[in-house]
Amino acid sequence: MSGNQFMFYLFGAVIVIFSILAVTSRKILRAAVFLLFVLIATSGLYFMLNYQFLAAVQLTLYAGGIVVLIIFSILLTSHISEKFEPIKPQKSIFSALAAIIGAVLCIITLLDYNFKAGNAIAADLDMTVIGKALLSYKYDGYILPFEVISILLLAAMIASIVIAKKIKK
Amino acid sequence: MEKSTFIALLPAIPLFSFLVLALFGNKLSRKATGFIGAGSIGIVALLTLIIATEFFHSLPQIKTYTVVVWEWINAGNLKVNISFSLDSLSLVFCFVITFVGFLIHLYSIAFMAKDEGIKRFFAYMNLFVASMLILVLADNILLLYLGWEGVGLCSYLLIGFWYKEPANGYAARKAFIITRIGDTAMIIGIFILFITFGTVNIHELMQLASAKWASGSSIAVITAALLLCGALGKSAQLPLQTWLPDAMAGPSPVSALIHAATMVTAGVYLIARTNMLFSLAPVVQFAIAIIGALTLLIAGFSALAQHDLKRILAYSTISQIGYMFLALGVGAWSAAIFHFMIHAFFKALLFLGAGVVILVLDEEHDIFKMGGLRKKMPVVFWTFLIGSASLSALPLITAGFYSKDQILWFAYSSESGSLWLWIAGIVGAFLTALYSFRMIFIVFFGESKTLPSFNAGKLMTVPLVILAVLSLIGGFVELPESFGNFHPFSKLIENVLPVVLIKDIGNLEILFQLLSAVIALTGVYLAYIIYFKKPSLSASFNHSHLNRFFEKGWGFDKLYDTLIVVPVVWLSEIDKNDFFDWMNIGLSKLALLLNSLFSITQNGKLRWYLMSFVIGIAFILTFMLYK
Amino acid sequence: MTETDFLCLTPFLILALAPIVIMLVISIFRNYEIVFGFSLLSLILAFAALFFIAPAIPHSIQPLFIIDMYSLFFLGIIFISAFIVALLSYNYIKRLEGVREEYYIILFTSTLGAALLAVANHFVLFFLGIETLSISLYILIAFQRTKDNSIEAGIKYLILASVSTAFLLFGMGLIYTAFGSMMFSEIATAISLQGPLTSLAITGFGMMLVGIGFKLALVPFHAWTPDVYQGAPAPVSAYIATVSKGAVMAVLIRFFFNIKGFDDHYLFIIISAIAILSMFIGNILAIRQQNIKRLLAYSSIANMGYLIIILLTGTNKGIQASLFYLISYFITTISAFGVITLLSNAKNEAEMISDYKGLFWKRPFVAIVFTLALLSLAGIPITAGFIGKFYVIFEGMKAGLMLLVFAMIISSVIGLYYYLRVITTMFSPAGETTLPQITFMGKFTLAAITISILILGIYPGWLIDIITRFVGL
Repeated sequence: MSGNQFMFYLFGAVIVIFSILAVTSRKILRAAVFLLFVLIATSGLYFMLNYQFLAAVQLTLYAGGIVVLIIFSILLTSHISEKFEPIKPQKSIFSALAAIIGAVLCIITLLDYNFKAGNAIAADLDMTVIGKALLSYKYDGYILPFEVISILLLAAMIASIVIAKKIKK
Repeated sequence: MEKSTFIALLPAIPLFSFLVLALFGNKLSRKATGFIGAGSIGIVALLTLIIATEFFHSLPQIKTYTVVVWEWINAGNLKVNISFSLDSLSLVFCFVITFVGFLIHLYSIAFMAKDEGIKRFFAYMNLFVASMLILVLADNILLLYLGWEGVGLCSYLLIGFWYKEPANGYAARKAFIITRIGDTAMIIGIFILFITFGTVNIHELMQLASAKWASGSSIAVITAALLLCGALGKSAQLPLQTWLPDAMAGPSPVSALIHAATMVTAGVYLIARTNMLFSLAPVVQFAIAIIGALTLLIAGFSALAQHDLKRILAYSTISQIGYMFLALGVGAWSAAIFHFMIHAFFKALLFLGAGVVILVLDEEHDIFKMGGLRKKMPVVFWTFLIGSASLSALPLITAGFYSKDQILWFAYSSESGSLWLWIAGIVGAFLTALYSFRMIFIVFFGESKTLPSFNAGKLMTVPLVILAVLSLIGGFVELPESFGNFHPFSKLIENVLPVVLIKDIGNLEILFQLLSAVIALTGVYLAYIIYFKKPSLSASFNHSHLNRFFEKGWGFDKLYDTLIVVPVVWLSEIDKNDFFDWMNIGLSKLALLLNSLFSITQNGKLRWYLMSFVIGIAFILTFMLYK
Repeated sequence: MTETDFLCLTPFLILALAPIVIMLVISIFRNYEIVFGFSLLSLILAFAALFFIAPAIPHSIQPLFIIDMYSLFFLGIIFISAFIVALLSYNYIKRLEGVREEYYIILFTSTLGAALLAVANHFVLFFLGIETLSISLYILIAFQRTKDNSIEAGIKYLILASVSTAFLLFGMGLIYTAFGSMMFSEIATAISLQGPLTSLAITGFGMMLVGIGFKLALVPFHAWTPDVYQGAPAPVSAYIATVSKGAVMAVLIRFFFNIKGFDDHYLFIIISAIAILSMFIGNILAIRQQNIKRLLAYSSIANMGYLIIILLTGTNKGIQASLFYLISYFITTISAFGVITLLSNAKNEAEMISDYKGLFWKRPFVAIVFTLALLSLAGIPITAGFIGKFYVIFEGMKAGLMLLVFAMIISSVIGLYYYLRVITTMFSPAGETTLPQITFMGKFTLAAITISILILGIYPGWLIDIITRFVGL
């Protein structure tokens, strides 16, 4: 087993284990922290694939930003010691069954697929290339979806303000 | 504007006022309702007059006006236009519908003044007039059928006008269902005509039929018989006559307009309109004569035994339409139309008179509880007397004499006439005189038993007087050959309908007229003896079985009940739970069961909803991957 | 970018500018009427812009956008529907507590999302459109945040939509893996080159089906519909039922016909099963429903079931039938929800059938409008719904989809029951409930919609002509 392979299985194991822990933990703060580990391990996978940009985004945005935000909101809205109700066995049976079926289907699909190693050399995707492509208005430029995303975020922002604003009596 | 386009306005105006009354009725005052309801018919009557003058001016060149309003149906080879055509036959019918209709509408303003349903009443009445005009003006048989069903619907609505009384609803349903039997046969006949000739235009149909069908061929006989069934139902002729006496449950103006003057004679119109078809089926045509003769006798006897004033008139109507059928059957087309017109005058008069009597006596229908009304209500008495005289065909002075006498004469003298038909007619005439004056003597003479609660106003009496005048002088448009020999009416009708063919039997008409005059007068005298001079004579007869048999309309209702209604009810009773019912009930039960089953899934719980996602995708993927 | 590109983007630019302008206006001077008027004006402008870009089409802005007659048609009906929803919302939103002007901002962002779906030719735009639409809808649904129902509906929609989007995205990813492209046309070419679908592609399509099925409320992804319709403000329910579903239908038809999904035997069976289940489950669930908004939700499930039959015809005529059906369904649904909107007051949402007891005797006009809308949903002749259904059945039979057509007819019969039940309630003797007065504008809007239901029902020829001109390629 090469070092690369070892790292891949390590990240894979981290992702699987902490994902399971995140959804089974009865303490919400812990669940959030488990999620953090999952995201970090995922960015590790990106690094291994030489997707430095994606890996960085994954780290800063998801691991750095979103999870911290989640943890903050948990701390603001509930007690750390608070525990979820234990889940009734029959409910967990159904969930487990669904999860297993899903997993089996995915695994079979992936195993079934004839993955071929491409002979194309991995493109040298540095920040400038990605940034220029995103903001280009020429052929194959992604300026328009970029703008759409800004509208989307605008909508999300207004939405959260509207929902959170106090009603003046 | 072309005068001929006025034709389209005839049905359009009452239809419009029907819409106004139906849609904005509750915003109108009672006065406005009467004004719109009767006024629209007045306008239509005026229009008819304008069209009639135009029509007479252009005689004898133009015989038919046609106006196409718009294309109604255009599907494959079925092309139907909303188009109207007017010839002398339709003109006579339009004249009766609009003029008599207008008088009846005027009368109704007073008659219905206190009724809460006055808006509904006038709306239905206007719809009726519109439908009836569509019926007589239609230039294709489908539009005619539309009018035909329209008048049937209005008849149903108006018989059951006072719907709070269950019996009235029953009478309305009875009328509707029995006429429907005839209508079903009729629409089959219409289909046969359309399928064979590929057109629905009446004129073309008749031309094609006489060109392509041999006289007496089975298809012609079948089609004519099917159309005849429709006519029998609508005109209350044997064996579909049982609905008309019950139809008297409606208000009296309705009985006058629909069940005496116009709608019940639609059968006469239909047969006259399609006369070429009937000429191709001599068997059927002869059957019309026989049916007419039988009906007039049966109804005449029944009229003699009734207690209810309006039922007497109802049976009398059946009997008089029997005369018209007799005339149609022997090919005396114009005599039938002539009698239709005169009958419309005097029978509308009698019904309106009866309406006044019943109204002022607080809904008293039984003639034996009336009496002595001659002094109390002179106008009604005199007009009623004139109407009865015309109905009894008292010689020379009444219009009924001229019209009925013509029928009697042709019943014997026309090519398909015979002595037997004439005898039936003359016996009927005797019965007519007898029951007419039975009414007069019992209702207006003798001691008074119920006192009138109020006097009828001008609005009611004026139409009576006008109709009485028409019942007297209306006959002078057609005088027999024996004296006068003046035939403008039959000349007019013979523009469209064939001339009656006379056997060569010499000039016996005067003899027949004398005979029928004597018979009518005898009837009147006998009525005087039995019902006025010696009432004991009639009283002894009153309780006989025969009298009861006549009173029940010869037991036809009972016969139909035992022969048809009871077995059908029995059959449907045992067939109540057949396979198809099981299927229907099962489907609804299944739906309800599934409903409660599926409702479990709609429990509002998010995890359930998510679970249905997962199950769904699991199924889809499993199926697609492991097909 | 060329001038033509900009020209073709005008309606989108208007839609994107409008919320920003409203936002600025609100920050300076908060006035409900001004915002309302400006919103209507912008929607009219966006609609008018369609006429200006018409000469420039078909035009595609590589690789994401494709603006052809088909998208123009959908843009048109999306803008009109959004306009009518905005009109109907006026009173309903005005009486709410708290912020109200923001409603129109969100209405614009969601309409932008819907409009993007109509021009999407690429998974990226497909996804962005659906997300913009969804995120705006979360808040529109929960707009009456003082009501528990509304918040509950918003949260349910949020979670379920996120899950469905996750499936959609995963599906897109798998398809990208399988074919190496995210453009509809390139995927189609790849499919025709590769032959039978690989398991990866199949899983991808199956997962996309979840996302699309959720948006269209097809069984088994339908369960949210009644809860959300009930909790959301009535005009928003109308919006979800029409604009949101119509836009998703637009992209679905384009994608499905591009990849010729009807040729794949198993996809065919799956979609048939979904269609039949949606028809029956939707109609059967509605039978005993006492809440009109939930009833209309179930009815919409069944209606979408009828509509996706068209996907399987695989013909151009089929697309035309679906467009006609969509339009008739749009106006009918908006009319029904319009009545609910106008009859609701600040305290009480007129959502129970019992609220409509004797409506005919109290508000004959509204009752007749509602009756016609329900008859149209039931597919009774002389209404638009009849022609729409007839057209779908006709095209379905031509394509030999006898089983589906048969199921459609049977379930329509079941559906008739609950529509007629509401109608009989309206004509029964009057009940006690008091109803608010209806504004002239509301009456006018309803009258216009109702007349169009009748016109389409009696003389559908002109619309069929227009549709044929738009997609008669």
